[in-house]
This record gives sequence, structure tokens and C-alpha cells, in this order.
Amino acid sequence: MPQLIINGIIMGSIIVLGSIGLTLTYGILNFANFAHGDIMAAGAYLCLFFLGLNVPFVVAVILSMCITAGLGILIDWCIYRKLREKTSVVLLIASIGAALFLRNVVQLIFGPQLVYYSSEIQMAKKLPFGIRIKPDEIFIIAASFLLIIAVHLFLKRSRIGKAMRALSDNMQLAGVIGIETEKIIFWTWGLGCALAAAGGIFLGLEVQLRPMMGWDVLLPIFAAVILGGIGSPYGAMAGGMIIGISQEVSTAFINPAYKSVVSFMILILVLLIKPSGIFGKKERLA
Amino acid sequence: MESILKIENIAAGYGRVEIVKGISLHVSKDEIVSIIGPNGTGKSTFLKAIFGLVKVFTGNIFFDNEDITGLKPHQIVKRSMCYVPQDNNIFPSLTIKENLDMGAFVRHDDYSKNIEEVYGIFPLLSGFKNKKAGELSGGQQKMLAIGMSLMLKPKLLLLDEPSAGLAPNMVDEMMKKIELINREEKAAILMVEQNAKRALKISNRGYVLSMGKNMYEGTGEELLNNKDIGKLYLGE
Repeated sequence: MPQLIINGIIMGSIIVLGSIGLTLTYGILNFANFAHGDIMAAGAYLCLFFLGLNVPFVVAVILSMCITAGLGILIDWCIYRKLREKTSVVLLIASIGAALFLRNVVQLIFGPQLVYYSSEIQMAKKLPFGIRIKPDEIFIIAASFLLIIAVHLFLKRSRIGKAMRALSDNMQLAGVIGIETEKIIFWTWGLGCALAAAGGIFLGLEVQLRPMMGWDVLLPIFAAVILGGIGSPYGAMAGGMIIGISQEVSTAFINPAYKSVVSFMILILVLLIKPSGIFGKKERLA
Repeated sequence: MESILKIENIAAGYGRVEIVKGISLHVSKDEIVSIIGPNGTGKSTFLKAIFGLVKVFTGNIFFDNEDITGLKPHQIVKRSMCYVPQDNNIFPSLTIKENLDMGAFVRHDDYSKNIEEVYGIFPLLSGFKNKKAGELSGGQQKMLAIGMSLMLKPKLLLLDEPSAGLAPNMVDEMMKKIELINREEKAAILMVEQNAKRALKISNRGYVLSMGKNMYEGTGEELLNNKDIGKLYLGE
């Protein structure tokens, strides 16, 4: 069981990184960005590209995060920005288009096969309580933890971070008091997609890289966002951990092939019992 | 006294629907001015039109001797006019302090003194600086909303129904705060009020609107004592 909890924390970290960006853009722009998973995959493959150039891993991660942030901003600028006046369904469908586009570009460049960042075999370290953990996994947990702390400080302390939370609460009021909303939206995409890239890279590190990887992880991420309450980054952090841990712990009782059922179950339960989520106040639209 | 706001015969509305059909009005630098009138007469839309939230079809708006017709809210805010909406006028998941920070978003100087001033006007708020604004009572939220707007040291404050939804004793409290802000913060105030009597009592002047047009204009006292207005709008 302790081993499953550790596995859950690893998956949870990845889900949290993916869901912070999704919840912020969902809360502010009021649409479910289905391309968010594929943004994660794009980040993961960018990292593979940099590793191919013999860039050190940490540098490759940082470079991929920056470029993916730019990619998110570019997608918003080219596609979503023009559709903001339309209903959220139009944006949602546009995001599915963006998702398919990203996935196929990845597949075109890197091929459909499974890829690993490194072919060397890592020895798991033995810890008390029969826990085994690979160095990569320690890195994932530590790096995610640092990123989450950084996001927390950014959202709580910085002017732009506070404005992001304000926009997520009440976009109209933000405009009325003089916040340049488009500028904050720009930064939100950058932050969200940079974190998504980190999540994607860590997912690739823990499992492997496939063009479909982002699409597959989208369900637990959405479950985390809705569980935490749409628009709440702290909700996404809590939700992501809960989803990650409960998925892994469930494998003690059910066939691991069905573990994504757990996300579905939690998603359905939340929607039935407390649709606004743990930290959410907003009514969900559509 | 020189006027801070001068509106010449504006028409405004949503899409192609004209709701405000020709209203003229002026506010002097030290005045409290109330706009009263029956429901659905375009009072709130008029206020929104001044602040650039609703399209102005014809007419002109001068603020501080500058034509601001057609400017966007974020441009108007920078000229020191603030607008406090009737509802949804705070950020519920942010703390009181963070809400005030957001009120000062367009400022790049040190505004800590200003925050203390706001706490001075609304001592209740200073008690829960780190409480989430969504947990405040309705009245406290309204006070916070006005406090946010004071962060910009406005020359003119537009208030949309500041007393709506408040308990009777809170209405008096709110009116006292508005007088205080007018006197101490040197902010001219233009407010739309459902609670016409209470509003006119503290107002230098008032305008009565009907069907999107000016009906009467006079000092607060004149309007309070006018029998026609009393019958029609003050519920006597």
C-alpha cells in the first residue's frame, strides 16, 4: 500500500501540473480547452528534441516549458482570441481542432511509435515500508513540488498572479477596475502551458512518449479540475493529488487496466453531489 | 463650482435598442447627485454608458473638461473616474486586502497609505484583511466594493444602487459613508438609487428620469418636497 501511495503521488504531481493551466483558462475564458493534453504531449516531445541535441536534461525541460508557453499563447492568439465573443461551445470545438492538429504534427515529426527519453535501466532505490522508487521518480516529485510552490507564490504575491485569480473570479469586474484583461489572459496561457509541458515531460519520463499520451491523460486532468472547482488553481492541486492517489491505490483492488474508471467515477460523483467542486463557487456553463 | 462631469443629450443602449433616449446632466466637483426614477427607465444603463460599458449612440460626455465619449472603461479609470456595479462587484475568492490591491491595479506607486485610508473609512474591513471577500455579508461586500474604487483616489464615483439589498439600518450607514467619502476624499458622487428618499436627503441635487429621458431636475430638498414626484416615485 505505501508503494501505491507513492505511485499515486507521482501520477498526482503530473496531473496537478496539467490541471493548473486547464482550470485557469477554463475559469477565465469559460471554455474547456480540449487541446490542453496535447499541449502536454507537445512539451514532452520538445524535450525529446532537445535531448537529441545533447542538451542537459534540466535545461531541456526549461527550454521546452518556455517554448510550450509560447505555443499556448500563439494558439490563443491565432484561434481562441477571435472566438471569445462566441459561445463556449464554439471555443470547445475549436480546441478539439487544435488538439487534433497538435497531435498530428507531433506524429508527423516524431512518428507514431513509443519512445523513451533514455534507454538506460534505472535501479529502484529501496526505502522503508518496502517502497521502491527510481531516481527519475524522485526527480518528478521534487521538481513538481518546487513548481507548485513557485506557482503558489506567483499567484499569491505577484501583481499579475493576483490579477489572474481576480479574472478567474469575475472577468467583467476586472475590466471595470482597469485591469487589462487581454494582457492577463496572455500570461495565463503562458503559465498554464509551461506547467503543462513540465507535466507532459514527467509523464514521458514515468511512462513513455506516444503522440496519444496527452489525450489519454486529459480525462484524469478534467476530473481533477472539476473535483477542485473550475477556476481554482488550489482546487486543481488538491483535485490532482486525490485523483492520482485514488487511481493508483485502486489497483490493489481492481485490474490496473481499469484504473481510469476511478477518474470517471470521481468525476460523476462530484457532478452529482457537489457540482461546484471543492473550492469552486462558479456555476458551470454548458 | 466647476463641473467635473457634463453630459449633453446622450442616447445609448445595447445592440440597436435605444434605452437611454436623450439625457443631459452635470455634476460639480464637490457634489453628490442622485438619479432616481421608476424601474426600467434606463438609470443603470445611463451610468454604464458614462463609463463606456454600454454603447453611446449620440451625444457627448465631458469629464474634467475632456471629451471621453466612446472611451473604454480601462481608459476612463486612468482618468480617475470609478464605477461600482450593483452586483458582482468584488472578487469572492480573493482576500479583502487582495481585493483592495486589485482596486489599485493601474497604480504603480506605493499605495499602502491609501489602503489605510480605506480601512479608516470602513473600519469593519480592517478587522478581516485576510478573510476571503466571498465570506463577508452583503453589506460588507458593498463597502469593500466602494473601498476598491477609492484606491484610485477618484475625482468622480459612479455608484449603481449602493443601498440595494441592504437591511434598513445598513442603508443609513451606507448613506453616511457616501457623505463621508464626498467630504473627506473630495470625490464627486453620481449615484442611481431605488431608495429615492434616502438618497435625496444626502444629495445636493437630483434628477428624475422617465422612459430614458430627463423629467425633473432640482436640489435634493426641492425634489423631496415636490408633490408630483412624491406621488410618482417616492411612494407617498
